[in-house]
Amino acid sequence: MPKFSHRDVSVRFPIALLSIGLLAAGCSSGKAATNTASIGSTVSAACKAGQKANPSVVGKHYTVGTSPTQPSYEAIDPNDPSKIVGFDVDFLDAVGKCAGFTYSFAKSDFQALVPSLQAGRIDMVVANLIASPPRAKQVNFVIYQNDLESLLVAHGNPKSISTVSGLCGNSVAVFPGTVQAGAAQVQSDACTAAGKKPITINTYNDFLSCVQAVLTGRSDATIDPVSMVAATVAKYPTKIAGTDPIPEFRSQIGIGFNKSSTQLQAATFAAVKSVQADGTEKKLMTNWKVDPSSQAATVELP
Amino acid sequence: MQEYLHYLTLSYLWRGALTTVEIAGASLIGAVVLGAILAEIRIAPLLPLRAFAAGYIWLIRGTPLLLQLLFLFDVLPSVGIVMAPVPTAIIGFTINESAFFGEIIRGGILSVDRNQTLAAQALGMSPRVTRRRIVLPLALRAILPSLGNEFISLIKGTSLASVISVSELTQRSQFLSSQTFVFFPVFLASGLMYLVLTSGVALAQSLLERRMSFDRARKVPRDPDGLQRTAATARAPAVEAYDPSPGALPSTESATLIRDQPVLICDGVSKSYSGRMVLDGLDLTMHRGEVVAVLGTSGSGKSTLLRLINHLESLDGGAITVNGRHIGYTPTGAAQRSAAKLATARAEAHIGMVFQHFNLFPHLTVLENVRVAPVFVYSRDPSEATREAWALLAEVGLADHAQKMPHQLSGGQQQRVAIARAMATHPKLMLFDEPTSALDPETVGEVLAVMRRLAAGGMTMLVVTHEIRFARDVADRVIFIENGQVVEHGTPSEILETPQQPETKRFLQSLTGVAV
Repeated sequence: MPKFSHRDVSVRFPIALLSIGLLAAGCSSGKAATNTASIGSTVSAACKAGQKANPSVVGKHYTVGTSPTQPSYEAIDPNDPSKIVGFDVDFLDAVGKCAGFTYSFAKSDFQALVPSLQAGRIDMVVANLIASPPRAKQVNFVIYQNDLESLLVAHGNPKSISTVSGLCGNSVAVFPGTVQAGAAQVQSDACTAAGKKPITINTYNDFLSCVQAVLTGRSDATIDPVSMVAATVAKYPTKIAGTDPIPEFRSQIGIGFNKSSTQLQAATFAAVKSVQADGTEKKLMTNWKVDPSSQAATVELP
Repeated sequence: MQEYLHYLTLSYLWRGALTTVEIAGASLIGAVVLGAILAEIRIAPLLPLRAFAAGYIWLIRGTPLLLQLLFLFDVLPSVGIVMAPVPTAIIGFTINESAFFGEIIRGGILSVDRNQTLAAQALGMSPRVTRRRIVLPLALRAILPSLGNEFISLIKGTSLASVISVSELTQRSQFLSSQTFVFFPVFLASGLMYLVLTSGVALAQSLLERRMSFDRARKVPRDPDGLQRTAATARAPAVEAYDPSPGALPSTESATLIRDQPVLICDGVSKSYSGRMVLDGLDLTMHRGEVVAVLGTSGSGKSTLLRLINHLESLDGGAITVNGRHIGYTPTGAAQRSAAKLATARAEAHIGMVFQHFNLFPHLTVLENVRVAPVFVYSRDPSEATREAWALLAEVGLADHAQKMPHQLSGGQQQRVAIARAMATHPKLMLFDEPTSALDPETVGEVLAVMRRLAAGGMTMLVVTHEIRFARDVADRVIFIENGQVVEHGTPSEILETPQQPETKRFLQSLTGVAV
């Protein structure tokens, strides 16, 4: 297969190297079985039609990569730390049931998700993953939500930060591999180019450590989806505050697929359509205090 | 390749490498200082201090570094202490590494030959000077490879600091690759940067090792005034020092001295080691300029007697005075507890000691061996001490070897250096502990010749020896010790030719093979 040799050398090998590096560096491969779909029994007619169109995924079991540190999307169940709970989990349950597959989660650091997907070690990524252009070059997406982000700052917003460009000269907590981290780096360079002070970028392991950094005052802000910011502020109302949605982020969230998983992607796309059409997605969003108006009409990217 | 070069020259990554160096370097300094303190405490005499240091090392070594970093970073803020990531990392690594460095340094100190500290003590060095000039340089030389190891693992270990948000090299590599999805060139570049850093350490280590090598080449001979050339003609100041007339003594001394007061009085001296009596009520008096040879079977307590005289060991009973002074004993007769005060007393007593195995300091040149006590014990002017050291070396016929290291000399030459080293303290009494027993037969003569010259110059000498000829030719008196007591004493001819006691006869017969 001469056609694939280029990809084999320049992509697979580095990714194999990364998987050793990143996974050995502390990513858990622990799996949390959650799916309960009983295939073909109680699904809607639309779902049945979807299963008929994509029969190869029906009855299959898939491994879904996630990073369960994002409250209200995917987080560890405080009552049973082996379980992952959140909107994304319930949504995937509904999608899987509709498409006729079962799945289990593979937990890892956020930054390892896309490389793992490329390496074929996992079949999908469901992790509140923004379908950014650089990621869309590496993997495919089935979009299901519009993303709105706001800033988490100290109570009373003492540094009056309300936009990403307002971060010049201040510090921001991010975790690696995120769009927010990349945006902070780009903005910092823009700050310097404009003759302003650069942004001090504090890199932490995950969302919760970023929140901790703002709580202790080590960082001035962190950038997160509005629903996560709202939920966090509700926990520490006297210490931190959220800003209005920031204009710089107008992106979409999707389920990630390896570019060769065409069957699984097509089946999932059909299932998401059904889950949106019967109102399930909005209902689940409401359950998890995610704004139901953020549902995005599903499309496949790129 | 181009991509790889791009990342290799990326200032973003090099700034991360700089942070790595910053944390590792600062932690190294902190850990060495803290580790040295811990090592000292671990061998200190005070039990609570020892227990504290042992407990600290137990706790820090026994828990993961990662946990310690997270503790400092996440737990301390809850009690109101908020530190930025880099200082937190430096403190964390310093605390962690100090436990390891402490044990390495302790190992180094323990590895230093006990005879080295003994020689330093005999020269009157205080514990502090002994540590600084003798023990630490030797210990450092021994532990340098381990220190290099530890520093290299410290450099690589700083990548753990990424968990507390320190933007060091590994963290930046991960950040960069997770944004760009370029892995191989980024990791290759950062791997090479680590290699550059660790190679620097390896290089520094080998340079240091070479500098500390006993074989190191001396850069500049310490002979700025052409002293070496004039040394042969210079009058050895040591001759003045052992001038037997009381007028040659420092005025403070002469006031307290009576003209014919004995130099050494041992009165009922007893000493036992773990219940075994080594010296049992030994009496001995020596006068100025006298040379006394001490004979006796091995284990008869001869060496112990010498060590009691300059208080390298404490008396169990009886008393010893040198020039009327009790060395390192309080007026009530108890041994001085403070090691520093004991050292001062030893230095003030001006007793020179020469050991069977020379005990030269292997890390110092011959010249430095001779001048170390004058400069660091007696605070003499360094250039004057150097001049005098040259003269002393010329006196023992070794001026040409002044810049060599001890191990480059033969045994006889080393022992002559040891004599010059003892003479440099201007001794009023010289103790020789079997000075020729460890020598090749052909070099015994050169050492004895030096000792003869000393005796001829009027030095008061107590010589433990098996050299019957030396005793006969040079000694004024010979004493024979057996079972911790003086069995017989008299002139050399009395003892060596017509011994009265059966023990003496038996001993002399065993030495010479001839019945007397």
